[in-house]
Amino acid sequence: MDALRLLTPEITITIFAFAIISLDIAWNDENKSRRILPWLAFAGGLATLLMIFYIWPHVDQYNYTAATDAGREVPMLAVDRMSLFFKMIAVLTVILVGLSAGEYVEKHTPFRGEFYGLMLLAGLSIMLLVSSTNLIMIYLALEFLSITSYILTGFLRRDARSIEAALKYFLYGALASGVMLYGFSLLYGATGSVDLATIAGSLETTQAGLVVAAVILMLAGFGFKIALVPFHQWSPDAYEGAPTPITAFLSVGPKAAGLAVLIRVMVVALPAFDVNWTPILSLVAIFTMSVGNLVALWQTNMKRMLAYSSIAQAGYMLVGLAAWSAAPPSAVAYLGGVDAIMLFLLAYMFTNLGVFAIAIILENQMGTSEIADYAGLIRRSPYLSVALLIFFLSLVGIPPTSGFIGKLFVFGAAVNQGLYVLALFGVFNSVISVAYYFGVLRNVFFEKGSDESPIRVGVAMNTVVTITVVMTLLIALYGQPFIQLAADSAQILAANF
Amino acid sequence: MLEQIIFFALAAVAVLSALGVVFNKNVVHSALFLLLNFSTIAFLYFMLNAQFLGVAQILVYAGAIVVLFLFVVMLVGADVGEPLGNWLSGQNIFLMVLGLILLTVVGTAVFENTVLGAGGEMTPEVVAQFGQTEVIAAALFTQYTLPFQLVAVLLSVGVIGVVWLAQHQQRQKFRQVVAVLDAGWDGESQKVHHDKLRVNWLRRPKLFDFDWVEIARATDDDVARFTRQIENDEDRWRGLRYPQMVCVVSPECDLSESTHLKLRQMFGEVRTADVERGAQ
Repeated sequence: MDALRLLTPEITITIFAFAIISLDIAWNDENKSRRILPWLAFAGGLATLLMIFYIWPHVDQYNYTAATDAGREVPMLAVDRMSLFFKMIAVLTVILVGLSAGEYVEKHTPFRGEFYGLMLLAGLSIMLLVSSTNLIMIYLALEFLSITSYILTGFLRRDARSIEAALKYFLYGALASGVMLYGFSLLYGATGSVDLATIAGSLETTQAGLVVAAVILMLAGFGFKIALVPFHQWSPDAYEGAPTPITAFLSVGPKAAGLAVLIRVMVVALPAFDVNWTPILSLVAIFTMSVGNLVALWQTNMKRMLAYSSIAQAGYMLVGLAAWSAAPPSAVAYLGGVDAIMLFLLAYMFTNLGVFAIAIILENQMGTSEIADYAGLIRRSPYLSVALLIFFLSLVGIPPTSGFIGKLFVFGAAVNQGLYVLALFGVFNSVISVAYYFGVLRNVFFEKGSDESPIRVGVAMNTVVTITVVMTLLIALYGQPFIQLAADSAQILAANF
Repeated sequence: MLEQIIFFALAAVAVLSALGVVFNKNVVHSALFLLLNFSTIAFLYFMLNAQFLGVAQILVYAGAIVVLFLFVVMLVGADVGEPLGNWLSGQNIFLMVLGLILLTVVGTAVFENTVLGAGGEMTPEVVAQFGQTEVIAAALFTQYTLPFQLVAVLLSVGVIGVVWLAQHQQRQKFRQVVAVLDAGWDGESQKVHHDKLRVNWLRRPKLFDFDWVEIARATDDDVARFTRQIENDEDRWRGLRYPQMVCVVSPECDLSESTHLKLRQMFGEVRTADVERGAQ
């Protein structure tokens, strides 16, 4: 396939995004046609998804071919199975968040067109980031994602908390970008190249402390996006203040993107570099899981609790990467931990977006997201209550839900590589997480609420909740296609083996 | 040898001016140190035979960006910042140790010459053959087309973000919105002409963007609730506009003196005049 066709998903989503922004300017407030803007964004997401499926069968030939920038159809980008998988995650997130945002956005801000346009552009930035194979492209795409995220986080300009969240996110983000860029410059100085595959080649001969410093600085930048401990301080504030649909987006999109670029850098650029990353990755994973889960225990606000919960979930994903890095050098082609991460991410995306959809519905109706206000939900909406139960079971990792399959694979990969302590920490953390998830459920099922009025759920919201519930159960009950998908997707272009 | 002397001199100026930016309490001085820092970096580019980059550095950073900083300082006001406090705190010492470790690692790598870099494709010979600007243009429009396009999209997003932050008027539909306190009016709002909207606050007791207040039929209690809500308004834009608004009080409306006083404190001008009444 030629370069232009490989880029059709990105081109499609860009066209839709700018069409929405232009139409938003062209049509004034009284124009009834403005109502189609959210649906145009939905159509854009679906079209992009179709393009990804269209490319999918054609990228098989690229497997495991060492290809530097010079010999590739699309310079600076790798269109491989892994990037397509993460693009699919990004687009699905944009679609589901866009669907569940309708009522919320209408209620809180008059800037509707911009919201959906920026959502699509945030999707675009993730799609570029996950296929970047070049430090310049990685930096630009990461900065693109950051800037769109800052704008969306502070989208409720009138709300002091939203602005505060955006400002904190921006200040931390600017610092993280600077640190990461410093790492890039050191790596460029040490190897003389910005292309990941070429860097890998140079590292076979260059072995210096400088590179360790460079890589650690880079990891800080990626860790910020994934919100790994100790780069997580921004996330609870940003998550709490941001518009709830954007919180949902932030908890999946940037995390997936950061994880993808981390995986690509680790797998493509660093295997030749003779440093054992397993202890570092394991330690970060243990801290991320433990801090996330322990602090979540004390939260009284649903959005804040989910922020810490998503920090912990990112820690589980990192277990997979630690497992990959622990594989013996003779088996570098083994991407065992990576497919576990992908399966986990797929499950996490549906589950977490489902939880957030419910949080958005309740916030639209009640105006708050305090956990105390979830009391007596079972009498107000049995459907949402049962859905919430399923989602929380999945986040804990109890069968028969997708979260169980995800954790089974991630911890299984760790055990396979003999990382028993890491796996044990993971299981132990899952047990801790039961406390706060079930604290919410106790409120929902057994407490009596002051308000008994039934919860009204719109068509779009109903669709989102139904899709996410079905997928959460389906990945567990009929898992073979999804496990196969994850295994197929763990194929990375330009890996030097 | 001469080159090395010039390099170390420039490097020393660059580091010292960077420290000046961070440690200066006066914002204007910091900006001027930043100017010095940017210019020194530009000279380093010149020394590396990258004249185009050097000129761009001076034009964009030393020129546009520092001027922009100074404009912001001028508009916002340059308060002398707070003293830095005890900078020998435990956290800072920890950070300094980390910084020293990094310095040692980078320093040893440079001085031991273990890292020389592979060197780029743009050797002085290539540059001399084609010319500085041509080489950069060729790279930008061939190898770096995609990042170049991405920067275009990124900047558009930045512009959208800035417009959204700076545009403080949300409503475009009506030229004037009047907050009406009329107990005898059952309706919530009424359109007068095509660009004026009258909203009955007593039926819709929330804050909205109004720019005129009319009190037709209301008790002291109603007005007190209204003023209390305005006092609690945290919106900065609206907060700035209340002292400039006109409040018209109908003569048949029997308000106490203290309520009048309150209204006079809150709004720019309080008139007594007939007020249009809403329909029953």
